[in-house]
Amino acid sequence: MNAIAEDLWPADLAKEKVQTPVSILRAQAGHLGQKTSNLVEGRVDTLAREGRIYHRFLLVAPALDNYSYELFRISHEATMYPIIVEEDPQTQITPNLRIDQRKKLSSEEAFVEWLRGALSSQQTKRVVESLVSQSTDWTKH
Amino acid sequence: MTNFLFWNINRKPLGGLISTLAQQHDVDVIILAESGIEPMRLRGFEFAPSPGVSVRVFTRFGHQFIRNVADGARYSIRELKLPGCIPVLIAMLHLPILNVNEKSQESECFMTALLIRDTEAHVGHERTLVVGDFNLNPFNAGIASAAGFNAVMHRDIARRGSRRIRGERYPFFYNPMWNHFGDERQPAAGTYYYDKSDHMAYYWHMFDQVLVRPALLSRLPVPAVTIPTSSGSVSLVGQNGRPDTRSGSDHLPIVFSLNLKESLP
Repeated sequence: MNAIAEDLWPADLAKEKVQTPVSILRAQAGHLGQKTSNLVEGRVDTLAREGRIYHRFLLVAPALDNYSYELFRISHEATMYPIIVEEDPQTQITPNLRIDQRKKLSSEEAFVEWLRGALSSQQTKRVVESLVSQSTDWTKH
Repeated sequence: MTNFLFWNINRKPLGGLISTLAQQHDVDVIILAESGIEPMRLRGFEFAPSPGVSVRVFTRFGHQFIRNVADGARYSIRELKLPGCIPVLIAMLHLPILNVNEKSQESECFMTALLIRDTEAHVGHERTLVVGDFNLNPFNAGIASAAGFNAVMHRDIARRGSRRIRGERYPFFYNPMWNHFGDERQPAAGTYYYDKSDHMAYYWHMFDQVLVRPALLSRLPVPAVTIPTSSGSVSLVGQNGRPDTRSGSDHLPIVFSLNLKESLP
C-alpha cells in the first residue's frame, strides 16, 4: 500500500455540521431586529487574543446614530466549550470579580440555557425597551 | 478650560465632599465609580444617564451636550460637544480586579482599547481621553503594551502618533499619571494604598488614571493632573498620608483640565 497516495483521513471528517457559539449568537441577534422592527438590532463582534476567542453581544439602535450597548461578553478556546461568561446581564456588577466566580458553561445545552436567561433578564428588557422608545420618538421627530 | 473630576467613592455617601471639590476646582464634568449617589443629589450638576452602572456622570451643563455613543456594564463612551468647542470622546470605565490575574486584566484592556478604536472610527476622530479606575498601574502591560492602551509616560513619544508592530498600527495615549509616583512632589504617592503581606508590594498604586490621545496634547496643560488630598477643610488622607476611609474613600480623586475651545490662542 502506498501511504503517500492513500487518503488516511476518516471518511466522516468534518461532515457533521456543528453549531458554533457565534452562530447561535448571530441567530439571536437576527431575531431581535425582527422583534423590534429593526429599531434595535443585535450585533456580534468577535476577536481573538492569545488563544481565546471573545464575542461581544451588542444592542445597536440605528436611529440613535448607531448607539450601542454591550449586553454581555463570552469567551472560549478553539474547542468552543467550556464557555466563560465574561460579562453577564443577570449578575450584579462588582469591581472585585474573581476569575473563579465567572460562570463556566460546559456544553451547548448549558450555553443555550444561559443565553435564554440572559436575553430574558430584567437588564436586557430594560435596555431594549428604552432603546425602542427613544428610537420611536426620534423617528417621529 | 473644561475641568474634570474622577473619583471612585467606594459606595460612600460623599455628595458633600464631591460638591466642595467641584467648587474648589471649578469642575464641569464629574465622573464617579462605585457610586450610589442619587442622580439629583449633586447641587448645580445634571445627571447624564447611561444603562451601565459602573460609572456615573454629572455635568454642569445640559446632558444633551454629552451624548452616549457606546455603553457597557463597565464603561461608558460619550461625545462631549460644547458650544464653541471641539467635540471629544470621553471613555469612562471601571475595570474589574479579576482576582489579581494580570493576564485576564490585560485581555480586558485589549478589548476596551479595541472598542475605543472602533468608536473613534465610528465618530471619525481621535480626540479621545480615557478616564477611570483601571485597577492596574501605568506600568502594567494592559496599560503600557501596544495591544493594550499603548499609554506612554512622555508627551514627545505620544506625539509620534502611533507605533507599528508587524504591520499593525497602534495609536498612542499619553499617560500623565507617571508624573505622580513617589513622595517628593505631593503628599500622596498614588491614588490607592494597599499593604499586603507578600514579597512583592508597591504599597501605593495609581489605579485611577486619565489617558489622552496625541490629538489633544496641545490642549492638556502642564502639569496635567492633580490628586487632591482635601475637600475644603476635610482631609481625604490620614496623618500617614494614605486615603482616609473615615472621611473619604479608599481611593483619592483626580482632577484634570482640557482647553477645548475651537481656536487655541
